Amino acid sequence: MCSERLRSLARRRLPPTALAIACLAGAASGAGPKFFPDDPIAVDRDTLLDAGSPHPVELSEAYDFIENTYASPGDARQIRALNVNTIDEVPDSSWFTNRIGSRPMTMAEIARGPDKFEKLEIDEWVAVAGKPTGFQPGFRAIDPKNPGQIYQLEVDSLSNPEMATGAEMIGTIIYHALGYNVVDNYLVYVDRAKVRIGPNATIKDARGRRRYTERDLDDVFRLSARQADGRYRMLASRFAEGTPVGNFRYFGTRSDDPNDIFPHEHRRELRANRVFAAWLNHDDSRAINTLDMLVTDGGRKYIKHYMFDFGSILGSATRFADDPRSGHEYLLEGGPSVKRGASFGLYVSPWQKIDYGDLPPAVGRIQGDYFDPAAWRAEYANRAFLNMRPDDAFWGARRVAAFTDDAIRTAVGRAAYSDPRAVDYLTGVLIKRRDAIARVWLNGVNPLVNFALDAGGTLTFENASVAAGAATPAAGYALSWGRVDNAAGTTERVGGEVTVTETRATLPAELARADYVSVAIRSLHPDHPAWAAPLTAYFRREANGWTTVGLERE
Amino acid sequence: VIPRSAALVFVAVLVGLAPAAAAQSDSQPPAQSRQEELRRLRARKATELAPYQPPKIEQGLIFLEEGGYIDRLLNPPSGFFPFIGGITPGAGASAGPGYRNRGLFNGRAAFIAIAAGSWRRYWTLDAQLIVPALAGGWLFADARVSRSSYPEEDFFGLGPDTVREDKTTYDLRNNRFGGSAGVRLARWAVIGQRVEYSTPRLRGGAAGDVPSTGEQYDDADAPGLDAQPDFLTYETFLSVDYRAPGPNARRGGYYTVAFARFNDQDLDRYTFDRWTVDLQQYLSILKGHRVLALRAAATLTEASGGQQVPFYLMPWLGGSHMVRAYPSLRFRDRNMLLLQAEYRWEVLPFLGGALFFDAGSVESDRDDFVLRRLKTDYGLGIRWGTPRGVFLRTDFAIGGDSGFRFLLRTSNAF
Repeated sequence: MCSERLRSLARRRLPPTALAIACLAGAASGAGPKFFPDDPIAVDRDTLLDAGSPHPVELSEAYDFIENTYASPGDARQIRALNVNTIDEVPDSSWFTNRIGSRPMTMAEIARGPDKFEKLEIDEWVAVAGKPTGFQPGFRAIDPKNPGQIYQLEVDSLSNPEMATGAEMIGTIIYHALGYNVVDNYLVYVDRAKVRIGPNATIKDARGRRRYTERDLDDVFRLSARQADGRYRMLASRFAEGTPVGNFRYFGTRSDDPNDIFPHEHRRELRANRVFAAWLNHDDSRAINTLDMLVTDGGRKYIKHYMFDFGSILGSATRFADDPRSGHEYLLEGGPSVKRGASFGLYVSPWQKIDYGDLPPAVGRIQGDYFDPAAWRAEYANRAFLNMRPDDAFWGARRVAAFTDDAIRTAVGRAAYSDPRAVDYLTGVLIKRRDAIARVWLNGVNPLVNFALDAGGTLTFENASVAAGAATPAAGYALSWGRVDNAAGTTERVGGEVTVTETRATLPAELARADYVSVAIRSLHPDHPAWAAPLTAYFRREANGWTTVGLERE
Repeated sequence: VIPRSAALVFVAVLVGLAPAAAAQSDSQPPAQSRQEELRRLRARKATELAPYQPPKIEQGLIFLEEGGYIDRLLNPPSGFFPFIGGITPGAGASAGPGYRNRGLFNGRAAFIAIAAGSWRRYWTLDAQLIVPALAGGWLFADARVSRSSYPEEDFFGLGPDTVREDKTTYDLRNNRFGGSAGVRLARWAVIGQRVEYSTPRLRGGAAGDVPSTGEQYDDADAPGLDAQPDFLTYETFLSVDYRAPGPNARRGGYYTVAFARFNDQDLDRYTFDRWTVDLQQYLSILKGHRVLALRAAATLTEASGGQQVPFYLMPWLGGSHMVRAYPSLRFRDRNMLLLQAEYRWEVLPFLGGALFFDAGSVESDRDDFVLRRLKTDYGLGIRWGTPRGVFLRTDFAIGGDSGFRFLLRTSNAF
């Protein structure tokens, strides 16, 4: 299975590193067993090889837009994600750490997010540089008591106080809980009079590299929302540990990173980021908002991959409320724009009819009632999002569905909105959007999960869609058991198909002594035809019973 | 994007090195674990590492973005920049060096100077000192000095019934010194006073076969043709601007009323008053995704006690901002009335369409304005920009002397 995919990749003119790509879900060589003894792996040790001194990857925002809009880079074939393990999950790696949906998370843990400190209380700041990129005004500064740690400080706009900083806080908390690497973010309240400029502070702008001045600082605060006490609410992003080495793209691999062997468009956590981006309306999810950091660990260097910059998620466009088009159409989308243009505007896109009402300024513009997850769009496409298959979306939707109402309210609470209407509205919107995602993407595949075969031969499993309240229980489950020849990678069917109405069944007696067994299950539900696609679970007999070693969804 | 070196290796693999690679791979015993298999694959990639080499186009764009060269060239906060735009209606495409310093008086004032010329030999030297916000933003002021030469200004005679064949040209040179100051009554309303001293001077025009104005008209047909005084002008203006979200408005209005007195400083023949009214209303349709933009504007002049309005300071009609199927300065007289309507619709976030209708006229006596004498046109336009501004406009206007006119401009119609 996997070697065939690799040959197929070769036909797509991918470099030899891609030819060498293994699939965690299966053997890379036809000569290998279907399951190795260490399958399923929980951790992809992609930090073991020393990354040396990679050159920073500089990206052009314009080129990224043009390339992704017109050139369709990367491998476009709809193949199974390559970095999933044999049970169809994403192992922990330098990209991703399994958190919500994989293990219980307390509200305190969700609320804490990636933050190193519980609270950041710095009275006086020293500006050390201007902010080189981004739409949100700000500067880089240090705490004079801890000059080794740099923070990037950003303000809110006059028209939408607390909007961009709030969005950044919520995005950070949720993306962290989902499993991504994100930098620490803190809300701080800054007295302009207590910000001074460091002796070596510089800024690079249209005039080139020059000294950072009081006027530059005034420009940041001049158009910024101010609190009643005269201070400015700002977002302080703590620089991640390590050395920045650029951004990662949503396709290909870093040619200078030995650990980066899975084409990014075939990484599940990047494909399924489309689910999370849709949930949070992260329409700015593009390469420029990612971060690669070169981290040193015990003398060895490796690249750690971050999601970055959530200031324009939810209803925020950073300085303004989001455009009504946001999330509904790409910046350049031929069909509807041609219709609008050719009809002299008589053709009205559905999103143009949405009435947002009078939303709190801190919210910007977002809604949950007309949210269609499958139709959601970022500002422009990327190959990983385009490659997302139903199984990737299901994996992502399970994590979204794992956020309880309380968890969502906890995440929104970190935005510390002064207007309680903003808290209530955003919490409600995220709940509605979560439920819409569950309805669409938990039902796009056969949604059975958590297979277990106990020593007595009792098989149990769960229906993720039913558990999430996205569907009524199935009418039944049709099971076909098989004996698996692990070395050959073949399965011999044992007995006929049996149907059960509960999420449990019994292993046929003739398979009790087998080394590997499989069960293919179709879920039967009149409203969800996708459930009928069989999935196959594989079990390996161990000394104490059976271990689930494989899961394949069709 | 595939690194070049990697692509070369890939080709080599295709043409025959694959068996060798396979043999090398086969020389190792089969991996005994998933982790071992992955480790081997990564070890193999470690032998092929190469820094990312952006394609040439990306390198160029990175260079431009990193250096901020587009902003640095076209719109620098301070320093020299290339001025591109229009000097005056009818001048044609203009360009020249500009200099801007927004850092005067600790950032409270800006100085802007340009020296621009056009392919029609128009040129201008212009310098402004702008203080946008004084007294906590309640006051504003500016000072301006300019020198200009407009060698091919058109004159077709006075009134709405002139014909294209009567076109003449004159050369208008002018020096202007002045300034304005005002009070910001609210975020959306200002009242102010402008004072300007100007020295307009006419000479015979030179535009190919087009005769000079002096050859076809005399001072009775074109008051001020024979002699031009200096003028000291006082103007009081009131503006209300609540367009949203910006000049390419989706809703709101922009209303200006101004009264100016032009004082003849030399000849005691050309002192006159001028009223200017410009009313623009933007009606949002479908939550701003469609807009009906309406404009009514009038300029009325009055000279009493034997004084006259010089023809070169009379209101005029035509050009890309008024009845656009006619060229700039096409109709001229003591009073001007303009009515415009545009239906604008959003195609893309930065692209819109427009259907427009213009009507207007000039008359020597304001009582002579009647609907049937209005000059009209209609047409279709495409606008590149955002709600905060239009940076490129193409209009195809039907009507006028030649039946149609195609316009390409860097500003909105209104």
